[in-house]
Amino acid sequence: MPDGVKKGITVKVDAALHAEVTEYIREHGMTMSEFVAIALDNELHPKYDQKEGNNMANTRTVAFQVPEELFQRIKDYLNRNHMTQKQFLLGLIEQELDREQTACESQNADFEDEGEQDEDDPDLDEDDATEDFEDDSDEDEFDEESEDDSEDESEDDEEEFDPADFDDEDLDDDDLDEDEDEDEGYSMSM
Amino acid sequence: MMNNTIEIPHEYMEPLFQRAAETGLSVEEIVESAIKKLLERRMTDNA
Repeated sequence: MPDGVKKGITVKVDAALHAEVTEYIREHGMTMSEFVAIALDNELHPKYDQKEGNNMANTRTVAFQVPEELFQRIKDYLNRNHMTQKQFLLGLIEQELDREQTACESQNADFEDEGEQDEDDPDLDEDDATEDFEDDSDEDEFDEESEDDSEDESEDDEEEFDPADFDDEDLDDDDLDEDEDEDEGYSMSM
Repeated sequence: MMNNTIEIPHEYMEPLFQRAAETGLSVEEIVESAIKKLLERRMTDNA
């Protein structure tokens, strides 16, 4: 036998079963090799195929390109481990989704435990409320000071305004009127 | 004479023999079981 040529094995099965398979593959336009490959994939790597069988009515397609080098590494891995590409990728995806879901659930459980501890300790809540109140009062003071500063600044601007600017030839009458109106409005608001 | 043989691709030989060693079943029994399961599932899906 030449090097590199690989032969499979043949197994004898029940005649009725063989006839049933022959009928099935004839109806579905499959070859015997395809049918056997599917059957053995399901048997030897049942985890994902069984789930797939239950959810075949509602499936979506995930497809993406990968570099040639990575593709060859994937193929080598699949050959070594007798897996299909689909089984391999589904396994990785589900493993990560399960891990992340478990991490989230444990994080939520910790958060709920902390919440229950706060409810059990009323003194802690009172302290929190006091702190909140103090924080708010500080903010109010700051806001008032800010408003005062802005008013002061605007008054300073008014005082520094030089009336001699009106002598500028480029300034038309409309601009002058607006400035005067603003001055009046400001005075009225005082 | 009826030919009741099914050819198993070479890539399944090693895992099949491994499964046979683990379970104590013969390769024929594993293959028959796999075929029956697939047929049953396809029948169920089509029903």
